[in-house]
Amino acid sequence: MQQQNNNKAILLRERLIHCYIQALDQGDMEGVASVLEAALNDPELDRLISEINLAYQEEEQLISTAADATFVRDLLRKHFVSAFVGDTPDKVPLTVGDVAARLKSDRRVPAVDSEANQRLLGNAIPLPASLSINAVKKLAADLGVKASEYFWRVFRDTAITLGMGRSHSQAQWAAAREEQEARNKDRDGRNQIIQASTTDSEQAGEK
Amino acid sequence: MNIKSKDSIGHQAYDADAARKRHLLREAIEKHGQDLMGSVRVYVKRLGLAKDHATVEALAEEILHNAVVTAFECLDKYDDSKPVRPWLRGIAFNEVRRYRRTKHYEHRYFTPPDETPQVRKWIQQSDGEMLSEDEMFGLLYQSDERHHLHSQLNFDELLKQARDADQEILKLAFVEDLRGKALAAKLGISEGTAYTRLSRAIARLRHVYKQNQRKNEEVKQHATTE
Repeated sequence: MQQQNNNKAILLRERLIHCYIQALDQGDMEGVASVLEAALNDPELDRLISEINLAYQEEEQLISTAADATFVRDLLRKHFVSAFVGDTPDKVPLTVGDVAARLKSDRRVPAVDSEANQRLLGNAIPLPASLSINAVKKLAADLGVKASEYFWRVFRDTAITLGMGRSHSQAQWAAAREEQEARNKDRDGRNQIIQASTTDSEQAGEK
Repeated sequence: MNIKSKDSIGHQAYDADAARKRHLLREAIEKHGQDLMGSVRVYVKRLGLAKDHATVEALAEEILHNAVVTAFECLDKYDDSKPVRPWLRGIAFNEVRRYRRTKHYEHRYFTPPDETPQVRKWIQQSDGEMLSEDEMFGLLYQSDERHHLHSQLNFDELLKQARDADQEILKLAFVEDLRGKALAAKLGISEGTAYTRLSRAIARLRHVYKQNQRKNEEVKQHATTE
């Protein structure tokens, strides 16, 4: 029974992959959309879609460049904070979870403290305004998470570094917003030109 | 952003759920940003929004940019029990659709048929009475049960109708039962390329099969009349 269900799932996935490729080959938006929707619940289908898109990139010679990585980093730097609904960076405090996440991604968590750091991930409690040694000790006691002294020292250093980055990003936020508005204006202008030239050529054609 | 409660140490606690989702989203963009950029490029090119590389590049950047902003804006709708990447890809694709709708690109800048794959030409040439995808899948998968002699014969007949270049991949897939990575390894190509080749081979076979069926019917009819 289990085997039968697995086979059914595999067959359905292959059918969807076939539909996806045919839809891309025929420029069928709705076909692509329906397969992408199915992939929301199927990580394997999502992985295969990535593989297929990669094959299309090769076929169309749309090869990724190092500039892509820079663009993505730039996106995060410009919009991660500013894109929160109605918030400017100064309204979004750094949280314990943010620091824990950075420690984890930078691999600065000592092995003995990995469980403690794991517990702090996703913790939404904002950091205290002052990051003195005593304030961090009090925070540790309030959180009730036991970790080594070394861990809390690294935690404090990272929190300070992130805080400094956040101050910097506040200035960048304003610049990013301005840039986005300018892009939108530019895009609207371009559309008007396209529409105007289209109308002109249509009128010329009619004459 | 919702401020739900005050925490035990007196700070205002931000919605933990929203914080977790933000964290997941940021991680996903960091990890899959380039993959998404590639997907958007493919959609822009294949769905006819742009032809030349420079325009594809510029549009893809703009669309991914808007998709990231949209993702943040509707983060509360994201179900974090599901993976982030397909959700993000879906948002990016919706941006592509929105772009095409608002810019009326579908009529003016659609990729000319001579630049599209052979399959597309064949589909355009057909009279719309082609064997359905489901019917062809049914035929192939039925034939896939190789222990059944009758099915094996059917499959051989079917395979003869495919063009030479397609026979290899169809045999590997439906006789040797190789799929995905195994099929790609056998052919010495990537998994994605293996799937696209197989899919196009099936589409071509479907077309030829239908044409041959029609010819046979005509011959039969002709014989009966004589």
